Amino acid sequence: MLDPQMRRGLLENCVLAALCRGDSYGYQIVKDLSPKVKISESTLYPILRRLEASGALTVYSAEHNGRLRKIYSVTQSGRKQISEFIADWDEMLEMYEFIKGGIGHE
Amino acid sequence: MNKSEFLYALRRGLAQLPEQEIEKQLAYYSELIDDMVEDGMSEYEATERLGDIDGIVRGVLEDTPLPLLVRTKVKPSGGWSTMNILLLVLGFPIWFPLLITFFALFITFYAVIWVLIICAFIVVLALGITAVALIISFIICLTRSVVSAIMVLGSAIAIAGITVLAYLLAVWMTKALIKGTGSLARGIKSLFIKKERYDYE
Repeated sequence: MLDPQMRRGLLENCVLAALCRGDSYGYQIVKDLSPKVKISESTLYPILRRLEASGALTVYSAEHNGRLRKIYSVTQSGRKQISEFIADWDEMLEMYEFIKGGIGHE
Repeated sequence: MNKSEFLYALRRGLAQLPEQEIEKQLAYYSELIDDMVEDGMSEYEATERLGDIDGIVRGVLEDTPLPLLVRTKVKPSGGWSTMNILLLVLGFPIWFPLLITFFALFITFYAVIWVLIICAFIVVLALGITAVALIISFIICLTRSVVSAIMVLGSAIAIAGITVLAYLLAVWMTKALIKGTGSLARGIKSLFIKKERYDYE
């Protein structure tokens, strides 16, 4: 079972990555993530707010069908967060390959 | 339920929070429901999919920082009328010392547990030093009497074994306390979550 703290960090980066593909809004983000990542609408919102507080993304309002939608956009800081995450995991992946290779030899 | 019922129930569940917070949460869920309806769902299907209000409310309140929860729980419903403020001020000599005492007792109790753990590690250290001293003694003893030397070696090994066990115990205690602190913090937070009964269909 994935450690909750770790899971939260992973989800944050997933959301940022989704926004790298283009500015998006709540419902669309959930739809984009859903096939690969298990996330509910209620889980997404606190993540969005935390990312906004840390400066990883910005929000603006756009008009759509006569109502206002909140659109989220990734910032430079957010992109930096993703590349740091990827670098950390590349290192982790090497160790994972080593461990997996070790099990084969009995 | 339909959209307005959902939003109303959500508002009631989050009633404790400041108005700005509540508005933000409601705006988010309102937008979600609108988008889902545009996608082809009915309002009932949309609220079904969002899940139960209790779960959402609990999630939001648990995520709220403690100082905000304390402030809003302590605030009397109806706001700070003159009467409420007067009672608060007059009662100060009563509730303030009680509050201070409670905090002092709590911090003392918590500190005592940590001190016990530090003592446990000191015991481990003492045992370790004893084991080392006995080994040195064994080496010295070898030059005089092999039999006595073997006895000393035996004690050294026994003490070393106890040191390892004591160390494992101390580490386990530390981990248990750290975990316990987490649960305690969550428990304290839930004390400040106002339990509103929100009835909805």
